[in-house]
Amino acid sequence: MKYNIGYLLMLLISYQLVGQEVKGIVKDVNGAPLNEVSVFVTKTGTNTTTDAKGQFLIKALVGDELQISLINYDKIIIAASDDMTLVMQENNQKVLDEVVIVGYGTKKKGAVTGAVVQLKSDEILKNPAQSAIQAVQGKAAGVNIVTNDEPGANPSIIIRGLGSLLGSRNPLYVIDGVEANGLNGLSSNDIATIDVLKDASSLAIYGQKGANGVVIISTKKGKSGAFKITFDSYYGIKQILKKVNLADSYKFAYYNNTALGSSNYFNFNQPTDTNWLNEITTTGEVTNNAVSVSGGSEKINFYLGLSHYTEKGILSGTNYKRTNLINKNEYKITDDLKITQFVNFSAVSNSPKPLSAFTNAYKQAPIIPVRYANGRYGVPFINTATGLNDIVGIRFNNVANPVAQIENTFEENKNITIFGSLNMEYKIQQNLKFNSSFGATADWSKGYSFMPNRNIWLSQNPSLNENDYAVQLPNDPINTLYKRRADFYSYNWDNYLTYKKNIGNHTFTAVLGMSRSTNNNTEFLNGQRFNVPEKSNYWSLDFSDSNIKVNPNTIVQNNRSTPIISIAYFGRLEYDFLGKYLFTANIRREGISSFQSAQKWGLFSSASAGWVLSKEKFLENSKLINFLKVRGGYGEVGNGNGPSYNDVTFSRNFYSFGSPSVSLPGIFVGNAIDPNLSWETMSEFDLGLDFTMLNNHLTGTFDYYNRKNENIILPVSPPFVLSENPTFINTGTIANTGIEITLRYENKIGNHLTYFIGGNISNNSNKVSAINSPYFRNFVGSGSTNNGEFTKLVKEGEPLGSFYVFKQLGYNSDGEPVLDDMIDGVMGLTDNDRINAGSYIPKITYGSNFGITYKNIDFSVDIYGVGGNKLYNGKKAQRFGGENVEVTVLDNFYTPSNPNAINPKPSNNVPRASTYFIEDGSFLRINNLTVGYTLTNFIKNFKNIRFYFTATNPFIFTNFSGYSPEIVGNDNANPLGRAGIELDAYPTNKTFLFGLNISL
Amino acid sequence: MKNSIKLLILLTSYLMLYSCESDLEVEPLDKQTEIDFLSNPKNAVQLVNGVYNKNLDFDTNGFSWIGITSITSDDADKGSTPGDTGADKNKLDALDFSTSSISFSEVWKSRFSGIGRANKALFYINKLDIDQNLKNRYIGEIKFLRALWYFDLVRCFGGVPIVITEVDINNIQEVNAIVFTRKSKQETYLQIETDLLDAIEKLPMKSAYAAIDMGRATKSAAQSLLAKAYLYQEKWQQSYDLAGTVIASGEYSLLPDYAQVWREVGENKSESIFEIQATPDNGIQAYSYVQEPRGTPDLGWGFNTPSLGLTNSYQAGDVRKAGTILFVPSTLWDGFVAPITLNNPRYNYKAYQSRIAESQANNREQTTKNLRILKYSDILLIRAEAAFKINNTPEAITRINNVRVRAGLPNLTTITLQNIWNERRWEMAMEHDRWFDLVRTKQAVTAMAADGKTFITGKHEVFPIPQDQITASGGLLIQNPNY
Repeated sequence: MKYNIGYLLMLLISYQLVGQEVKGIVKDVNGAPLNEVSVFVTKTGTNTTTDAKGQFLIKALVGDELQISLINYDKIIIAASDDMTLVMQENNQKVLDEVVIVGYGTKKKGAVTGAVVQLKSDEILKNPAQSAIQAVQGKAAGVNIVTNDEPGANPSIIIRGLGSLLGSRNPLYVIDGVEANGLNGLSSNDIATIDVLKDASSLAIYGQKGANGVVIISTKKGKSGAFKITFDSYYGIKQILKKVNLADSYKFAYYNNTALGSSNYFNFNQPTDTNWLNEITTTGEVTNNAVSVSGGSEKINFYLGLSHYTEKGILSGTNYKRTNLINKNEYKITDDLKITQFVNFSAVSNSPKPLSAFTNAYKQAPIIPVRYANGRYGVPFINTATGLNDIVGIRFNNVANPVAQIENTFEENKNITIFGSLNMEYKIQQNLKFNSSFGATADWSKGYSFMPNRNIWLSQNPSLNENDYAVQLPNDPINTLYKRRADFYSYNWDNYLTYKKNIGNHTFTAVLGMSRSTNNNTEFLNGQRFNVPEKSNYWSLDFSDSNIKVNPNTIVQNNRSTPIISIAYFGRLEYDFLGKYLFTANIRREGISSFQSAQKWGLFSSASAGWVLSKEKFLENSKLINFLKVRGGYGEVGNGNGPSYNDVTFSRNFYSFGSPSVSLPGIFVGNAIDPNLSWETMSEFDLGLDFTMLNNHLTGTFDYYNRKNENIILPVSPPFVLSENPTFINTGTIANTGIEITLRYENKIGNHLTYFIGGNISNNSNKVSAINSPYFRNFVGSGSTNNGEFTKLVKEGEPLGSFYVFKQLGYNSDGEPVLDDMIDGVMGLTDNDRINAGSYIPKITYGSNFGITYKNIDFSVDIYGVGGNKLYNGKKAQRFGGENVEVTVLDNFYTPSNPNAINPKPSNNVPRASTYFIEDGSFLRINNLTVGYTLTNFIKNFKNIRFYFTATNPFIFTNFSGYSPEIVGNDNANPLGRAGIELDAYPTNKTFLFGLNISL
Repeated sequence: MKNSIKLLILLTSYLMLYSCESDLEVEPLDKQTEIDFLSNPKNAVQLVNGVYNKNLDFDTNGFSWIGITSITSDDADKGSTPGDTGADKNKLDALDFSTSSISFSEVWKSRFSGIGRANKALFYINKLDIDQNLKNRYIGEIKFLRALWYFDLVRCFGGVPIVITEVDINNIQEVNAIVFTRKSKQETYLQIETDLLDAIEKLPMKSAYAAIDMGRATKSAAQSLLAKAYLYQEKWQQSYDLAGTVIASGEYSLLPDYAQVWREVGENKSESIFEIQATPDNGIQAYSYVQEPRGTPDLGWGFNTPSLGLTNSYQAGDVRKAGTILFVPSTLWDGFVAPITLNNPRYNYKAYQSRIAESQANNREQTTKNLRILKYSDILLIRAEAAFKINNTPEAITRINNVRVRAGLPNLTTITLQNIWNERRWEMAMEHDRWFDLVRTKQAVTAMAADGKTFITGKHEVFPIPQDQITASGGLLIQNPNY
C-alpha cells in the first residue's frame, strides 16, 4: 500500500517536474481567432482546445510534436514553441467532407451515391417546437412535413410522396441505433444531427421498416478536452395565426331568419354577442430549459443532458409537459474495442381537450351567453314569443356550448419512455471491424378520462336540476371514470462486419450483417367505473351507498397485440476508385412474422453508382466548378406493414337462449383471409447531381426520382357470402415521381460579415396507377364530414388524397345549389357524379433560408410554402340548421336580383359535398425569424452568452379562408380521414419567444 | 490473426443460431389460432350461436327489412314526419324501387352475410371432434337458418346465387361461377328444401330440448318453414301434409289472447314455432325503435304505421284490430297514455315495447322482445290454404275457424279463397308477410290500387338486385326484368 502511494506521488512529482507549458494562439487567414481548435501533444496524448480568443495553453515541452486540428481546416503538425501563432487554412472541402450517416456505416458526403439530407443541431434548435422533426420543414427537398400545433402532437411526415395507405406511413427513425416510430420524446436540445435517407438504394439496407424513408438521429456526444457546459432557455407566447370572421348576433339573426323564411323568429336586437372562439382560447405559453454537461478524455467521453419543456396550448386547459434526461458515454476500452452506451428517459404529461370545440365555437350562435345569470351554461334555446335566447324554449341547433364542452372534459395522459442502446465496435484486424448494436424502447403510459355525465346533462338543460336527472335518466350514472394503462416494448439487435481493403487506387468496402427486431408488443388495460367521488384525490375510494349492477365486460378490458418479429440478413459492397468512380450494391433477405409461412420471406436488392466528374482531367482545373458528381441508383425495398397476423380470426358475439334467458357466447369468422398476402414492394430509380461552384461558395443538389409501390395491401370487399367484412389483399400500384432541387450560397464580406442564402424546391406527382382486385370499392365514405357526407375516394389513375365531390354549377331559382348530375351521363345524383377536385397533398413544396452574421449579431429568416393542393372547408360544409355562418357567406348570396351570386341563399339544409367547399390550399409562410446577439467572454468563464428573439409563423400569405391551410387531420394523418379537411382542426399558431444560450 | 479468424467463426455461427428462422412463427396474443380453436369441442355450439346472432343485426331485421316487407305493402305507410324519408322509405312506400336503394342492399348483404356465417360454421363444425348426435343437431340448426335466409332472398329477389361451401376469394373463376351467377327461382327453392329436409331429420322436437335451449330451431320449425316454402311454390299437397305434421305433433296451440302473442309474456309460448330471441343483454338492433311512437314523448322514429286500409278492413268484433294497431290518443295495455302530441294517428302495436311492464335494455334502441318468425296460427292458415287448393274444404274451414274463434269472430260454414287470404291478412298483419302474400296470391295489382299505388306486373314481383352488387360482380349478376 505504502509503496503504491509512493509510486503515485513519484509519478505526480515527475510529471510536475517535466511538465512545462506552451501557449499559443490560432487564427484563420483573416486573422480572426479560431475557437474550439483541438491541440494535441502526439507524445503524451495531452490535449486541449482553444478559447474564444483562439488562445491555448498546454503542457508540452518545446519541440514536442503538436497536432492542431479543426473540422473544415487543414490539420497542422508542428513542433511546439512558446507563444506560437498559428494560421489555419480552410480546406474548401467543407461540405464534401461532412460525414453523413448511411445504413450501418457513415460516408463522406462527397462519396455518397444516394439521396441523403442532413440537418444539424443549430438548425434544429432554431425551431422551438416540441418535436425536432418540425425543424425539417422547408429545409429538406422531397420531405413534406405538415406541422400540428396541438400541444404534444407530432407533425406528419411524408418522404417522396405517399406510397402506402395502410399501417404506418411514417418513416423509420433510428436514434443512435434504436429503431423507433417517432422521436420517442427526445428533446431537440440533445440532437446533434438528423439525416434523412430518401432514395431506395439508401433505404434498401433497412429493408421493410424503411420503405417510407429513414430518419437517422444522432444525439450529441462529449468531446475530449475540457468540460463543456451549456444552458439553453426560452420563453414564448402563442397566438392563433389567422382567424375567421364570423357573423355577429345581428347577422346571425338575419341569416337564420332568411333561411327560415321568417322576419322575426330570431329577434334582431339580441342582448348577447358572444365570440365563442375568444371564450375557449387563451394566449398559449411555451418554455424550455435545457442544461448539458459534456467532456471526456482520449479514452472516455460523455454527454449528459437535462431538459424541461412546457406548453400551455391556445385551447383553454390544454397543457403539455416533458422532462428529459439523456446520457451518452463512449469508452475506448482498448485500441481495438469501443463501446458506446446511450439512454434517454422522458416523462410526458398531457391534458388534451376535444378539438371539436373549435368547430362548435365556429358554429354556435353568438346570441347565446356563455352562462346565464343563474350561473348555468348557455344553450341554443329560443323563446318564440320574444325571439331571444332564453333558459327555456325551443332548441334551434344541436351544437354544444363550447365552453361547457371544454370545462366538462377532464383528461390526462402520462407517458414514461426509456430507450437506449449499447453499441460495440471491435476491430478484429486492421481491415475488419465488427459492430454489434442492441437498442430497446420501453414505454409505459397511463391516463384517465373523467366524464361528469350529470353535469353534462345539466349543462344542456339549464332549467332542470339534479333531481330531474335522477328521475328522467334513472339508469344513467352521475359520472364515469375511465382509467387506462398501457405498456409497449420493442427491441432491435444489429450485427455487422465491415471489411475495408485498398488495392492500389481501388478501395473496397464490404458489409455483411444481420438484424433482428421485435415490435408491436403492446398491452392495454382499461377500467371503467361509475359514480366515483367528484374530487379526483378520492377517486380510488368508494363512497357509494349502493352498487349499480353493470355488465362485467364493460368494466375491465385487457388487450394485447401480437408482436411482429423480423429477421434480416444483409450485405453491401462499395467500390471507390480514387474517389472518382463510386459504386454501391445492397442485398437484403428479410423475413417477417406477419405473413403466412410461405409468404414470410422476401429478397430485395439495390445498386447505385456515382461519377465525380470534377476529378476528371477536363474539369480538374476548372475555376468555376469545384466539385461535380452525377449519381444514379435503383433499389427495391419490401414493406411488411400488413395485418399483424394474417390468419383466420374467430370473433365473439352473443345470443340468448333458454327460459329464463341466458346470454351465451357465439363465434363467427368476420372476414376471409388471403393466405397469399405478402410484401408490398417499393422500387425506385433515382438520378442525382451534387456540385459545388464559385470557389465552394455555391453548393447544390438535384434529384429526380421515379418510385413505384407495387402489390400494395388494400382492404377489399369480397362478396358478403365469402367475407362479411372487408379483408386485405395485395393489389394496386402507386407511382410517385418528383424533382428536388437544393441550392445554397454562402460567403463573407470583409472580416465581420458572413451570410448565406439557400433554397429548395421539390415537386411530387402521385398516382394510383393500378388496382387489380375486382373487390376494391374505392374507399367509399372516406374523408367523412360526419353529416352523412364524404369527400374522398381512391380511384385508379388518379392521385391519392383526392377530393371527390359534386360539381356545383350555380343556383336554381330558389337559390339552392345546382349540382351536376350528368357527369356519369345518367340523370340523378349518384356517387358516380363525383369529380376529382384536386388532392390535399401539395404538388410543390419549397423553402428558403437566409442568414447573416455581423460581428456579434446574427439574423435569419426561413420561408416555407406549398402549392398545387386543395383543401376542403369541412367546418363550413358540415352545417346543420340554426348554426352560425362566416361573415363572407352573407356578403354575396343568391337573391332573384343577384342570380350569379357566389353564395347560396341562406338555408338550413345540410349541404352536399361539393366544389363550393373546395379551396386553394397554397400558402407562403415565414416559418422562422430570428435575431441573436452573442457576448463573448463578457463574464469570466462564460465563453458565450447569446440572446435571441424568434418569431415562428409571424406571417402567412394564403387564399384559404380558414384558420390554417396546414391540416394534419385525424388518425395519424390518415389520408382517408380528415387530412386536408378543416374540421375539428387545431389552428396554426404564431409564436414569439425570447431565448438565451450560455456556454461555459 | 488466427485468433481473430476463430473469433469471427464463433461469432458468425452464434448469430446464425440466435436468429433461427422459426422465430418468425409467432404465437398470436390477440387471437386464437385455428389449431387451438379446433382443439376445443365446446366451440361447436358457439359457432352455431354465432350464426343465430346475425338475426340481431340492424341490416337483418332492422329498418331495411321493415321497409321492404311492410312499408311497401297495403298494411302500412311510411309513417314518421313527412320530411323524414328514412333514407328511401318514402320511395318504397310509393313502389318507386331504385336499384341503388339502401334497403335492398342491406337485405341482400345481411342474408348473404348470414349464409356465409352458416357455411363457415358448417366447415368448422365438421372438423371438430364432438358427439355425433350433437353435431347433427348443430348442423340441423345451421341449415335451418341458412334456409330461412335463402327463403327471404328468393321471396325478395327471385333466384339468387347458391353458395353453400367455402370459395377461395382468389379463385376468380369459381367466384364468378358460384358467387356471381344467379340460379333460377326453382333451383333456389330446391336448395331451401334440401337444407330443410336435412334439418327436419337432424333436429329434435321442441319438447325434446332442455329449458336452457329454448329458442333453438326445432324439427317443427324446419317443417313449418318447409310447409311455407311449399306453399310459395304452390306445392299444395306437400304443404298440406307438412303443416298437418306440425299440427298433429301436439307441441303447439294458440294462446287465448291474440294481443299477448307479440308481447313479452307470449315469448316462446305454445304458439311460438320459431322466434329470434331478444333480451336486454342481446337485443335486436332498433326493430321496435324504428316503429315506436314519435313526437312528444319521443319513444322512437315512428315509421311503418298501420294503414287506414288495414284499420278499416277488420270485421266488427275482431280483437286483432286492437291487438295490432296502437291508436293515438289512447291508454295502452300497460297503462301508458299515448297522448295526442304524438306525430302519427296509428303505430304498430306489435312492435311496442312497454317501458313499464316489460324488460328493457339500457340502450333504448335495442329491442328486447322476441321477433316472431313462425307461429302456430301461420301453420293453421297454411294448412287451410293448402287444403282448399287440394279441395279439402272441410279441413280449410276447420283451420280458419281455429283462428277466428280466438279472434272473437263467428265460425264460417262456407269458405272462399278470399276468406282464407283475408284471414291471413288480419292474423299476420304487420308481421312482414303481407307484401309477399300479395305477390304470391297475385292480389298485388288490386290491393295496391286500393292503397293508391301502382303495382307493375312483370316488374314489382321481385325487388331489384342492388346495383352495387351487380357492379361488384362485373356485371355477372343479371338485374331483374324492367329495372
